[in-house]
Amino acid sequence: MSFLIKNIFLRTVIIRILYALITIMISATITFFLIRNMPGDIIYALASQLAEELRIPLDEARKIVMQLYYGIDINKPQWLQYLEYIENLFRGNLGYSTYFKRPVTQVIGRFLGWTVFTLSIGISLAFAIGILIGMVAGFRRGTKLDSLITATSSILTSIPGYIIALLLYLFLSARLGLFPAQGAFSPNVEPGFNLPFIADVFYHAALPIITYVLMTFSGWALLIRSNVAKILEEDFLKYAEARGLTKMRITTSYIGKNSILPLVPLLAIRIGGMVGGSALIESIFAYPGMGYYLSLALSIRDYGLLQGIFFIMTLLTIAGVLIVEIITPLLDPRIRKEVRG
Amino acid sequence: MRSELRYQESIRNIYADYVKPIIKSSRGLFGTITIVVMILMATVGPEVVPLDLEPHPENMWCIPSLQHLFGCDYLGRDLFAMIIHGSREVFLIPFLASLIGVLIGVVLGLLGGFIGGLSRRIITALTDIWLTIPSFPAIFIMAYAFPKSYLTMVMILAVFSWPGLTRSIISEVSSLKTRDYVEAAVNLSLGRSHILFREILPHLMPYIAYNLGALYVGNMTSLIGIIFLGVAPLNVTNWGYILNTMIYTYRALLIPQATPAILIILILLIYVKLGVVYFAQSLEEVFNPRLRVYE
Repeated sequence: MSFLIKNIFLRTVIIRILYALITIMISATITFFLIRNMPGDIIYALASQLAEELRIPLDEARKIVMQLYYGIDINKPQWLQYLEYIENLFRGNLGYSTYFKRPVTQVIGRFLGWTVFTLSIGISLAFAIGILIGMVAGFRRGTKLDSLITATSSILTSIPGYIIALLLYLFLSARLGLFPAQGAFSPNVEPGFNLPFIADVFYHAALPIITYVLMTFSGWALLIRSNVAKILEEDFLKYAEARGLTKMRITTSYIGKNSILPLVPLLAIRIGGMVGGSALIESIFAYPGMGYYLSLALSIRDYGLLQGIFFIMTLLTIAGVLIVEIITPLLDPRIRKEVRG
Repeated sequence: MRSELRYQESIRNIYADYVKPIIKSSRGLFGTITIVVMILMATVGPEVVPLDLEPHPENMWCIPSLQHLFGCDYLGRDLFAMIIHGSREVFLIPFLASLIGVLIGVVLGLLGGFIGGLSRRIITALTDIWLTIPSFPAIFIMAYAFPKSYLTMVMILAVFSWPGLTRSIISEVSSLKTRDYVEAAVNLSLGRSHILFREILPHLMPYIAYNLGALYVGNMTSLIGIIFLGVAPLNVTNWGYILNTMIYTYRALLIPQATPAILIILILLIYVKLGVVYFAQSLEEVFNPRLRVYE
């Protein structure tokens, strides 16, 4: 089908959206079969509770639980159940949270914002800092500053994010008390669009954001450094210098663009890892985002919530990747040229 | 006499080609030592160091000493012994998973890159899709849902270990295919298996070596991470479980005396990860001499 569309830009977008749909289906399928595989205690516990309350047989109660909490009708054949489940997902019905006693979408709606907030700031800040530091190291190749940056960056990239988080929490929060130990804002501030609240929100988000930055900026710095080093050898730079272009012009539009653009597709891959990794970071800082509730949902055996969070995490990743994939051709003139032709 | 000479020469060649490049760089040496320490820990370690899981309240959070090299935990148990006994699970499961992942990655990458056409399209699409599934939560949920055993843990980690390598192999093979010497081999009709295994695979060794190392540390991080987050471990000495009970059950982060114990585990994790990454990087240099810097 894809070859019917001549416009390459449109074609990429359509293919990406198609991929996104397939990914959603795969992730939904995995969760569907996982729920049926989950250790049965919670469904059994809920069913027996219901059976006692309504004085109905356990089998009956089990059916009601499956229907109510997961939207699965176990009277129907499995393939029909599966189709219904998928249909429910596309209608935005993610099931029911047994712990919060309300639809999963409502529960997730309350804390999705915190994850998107910290992750988006963390990812973009890390990208910007990484580019800056990598450029410096690339231009000063072979100097002490360069080897210092390269050495620290290569050590930092090998440290797992949750260890950075634990160290930050241990020293900055638990021992020195510089940062709050939990929550997204203090209970004594008035939520709303006012300065104390916004300041408080940033104060609480600081440690998770610092963790995301420390986790990823060094990787970007190393990549930019090697890209800059490669570009500095290119002939077109000598030509640009010979043409008498200013150093600023050469740095930004010749070296900057050419070293940053190849990283944009990598950004797409990195987003997925960051969304998933937020589970550990948020539970260490007790920051009430999706990751925090993912581990909570598991420990309180709230499978409906668990499944919903996993689904939304997949959606977030796909959305991030889609945005990157669509803006890449807009940034890169080489791909834009293909689009016109 | 002659055969002995030849034998000595081949030993010397192995040393010059494989061992020297690794131990001559400080990173490679550091990595090699780490790998040796890890192997000793997981193989003879549990046989030599006795494990005592009985609580000793008088030793609660004791600081590192000659008797307790790494100090003690919240029950006064010796951390060193627990870490040694936990290392088997923590080192072996991720390693097997990464091996399987690399195997899948190489096979799919060669299929996609060498044959090209439709198979390349399908495999690329599959990797693109697989990369957007958040792997950590998926591993987390699957580890919880499936019955616990070494095999299931290995398989769960392996399922998410192949797409990165597949991607880089596809692009590498596609560019290798157009090189002169490969085209020459095609024109000489040397056969597909010769071209694949003799001409192309050796060029992929640096990627494979490096990816094996990177996957290994990634999988180790994931395994410890999910167990730290609350998935039941296979053994109570799993490092993730030691961290989990310390930090969530006994609130060690808020207890000043517990600082050495936490720091020791965290530093150990960083050390292992750094060592493996450095070893993988120096292996990459062995297979790709252009990367060597010391000469």
